[in-house]
Amino acid sequence: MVIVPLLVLWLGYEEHAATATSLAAIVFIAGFAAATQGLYGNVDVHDALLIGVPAVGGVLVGTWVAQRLAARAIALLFAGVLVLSAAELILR
Amino acid sequence: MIGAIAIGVVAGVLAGLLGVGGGVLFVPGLVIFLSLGQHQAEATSLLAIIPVAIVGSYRQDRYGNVRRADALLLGLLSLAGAAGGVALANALSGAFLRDAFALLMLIVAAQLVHRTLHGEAQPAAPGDPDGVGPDDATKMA
Repeated sequence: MVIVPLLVLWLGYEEHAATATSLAAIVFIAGFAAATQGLYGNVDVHDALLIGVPAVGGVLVGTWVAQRLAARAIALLFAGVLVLSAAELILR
Repeated sequence: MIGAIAIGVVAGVLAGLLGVGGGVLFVPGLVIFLSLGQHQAEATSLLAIIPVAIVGSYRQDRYGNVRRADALLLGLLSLAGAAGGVALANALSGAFLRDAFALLMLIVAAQLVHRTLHGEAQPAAPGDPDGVGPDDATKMA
């Protein structure tokens, strides 16, 4: 949630490059974090597969659609998700 | 179980569209549909994010959108930043952190909207192997 706006607003990335580069960076971040959490015994591998494998199908659709969207549409969609997430945090 | 699969698909679409991991949906999905505790759900969501991010970034790389060196640098810097973040999070109250993060998200959203509506025109995506790119989407719209 932080990487994409950082790349767009601070480093002047175009939206497609920002979302793509963010996703690639997340491979390293999630890999390290999952390994650390795994050492603490908090990771349920079965449930991760149950929700993660369908998500792989979803991400293929998402990247396909994103490539066909204008940069401004991605930026506005991202802003909408940020507002919803902020509202969810505040109202929780 | 069907609910978990459905929310997995939606989280994947969101991850591909917006370049986020999908954890924002994975965590509530694991809590609500698979009855994990909050702590375990957050940890398990990290493992679920890995294949999504690998496949998503592979597809984006094929489109020519990934700046590989920057991604590697960002990933490594985030690992270093995470250590500092943990120390900061321990020093501040949970409620303050939550409100500060929510405020930050609202400010960033406002900046994104302002830049998009009033900023200069953005260039097209760098690569376009399928022959359909953002420029074409704009023209068709």
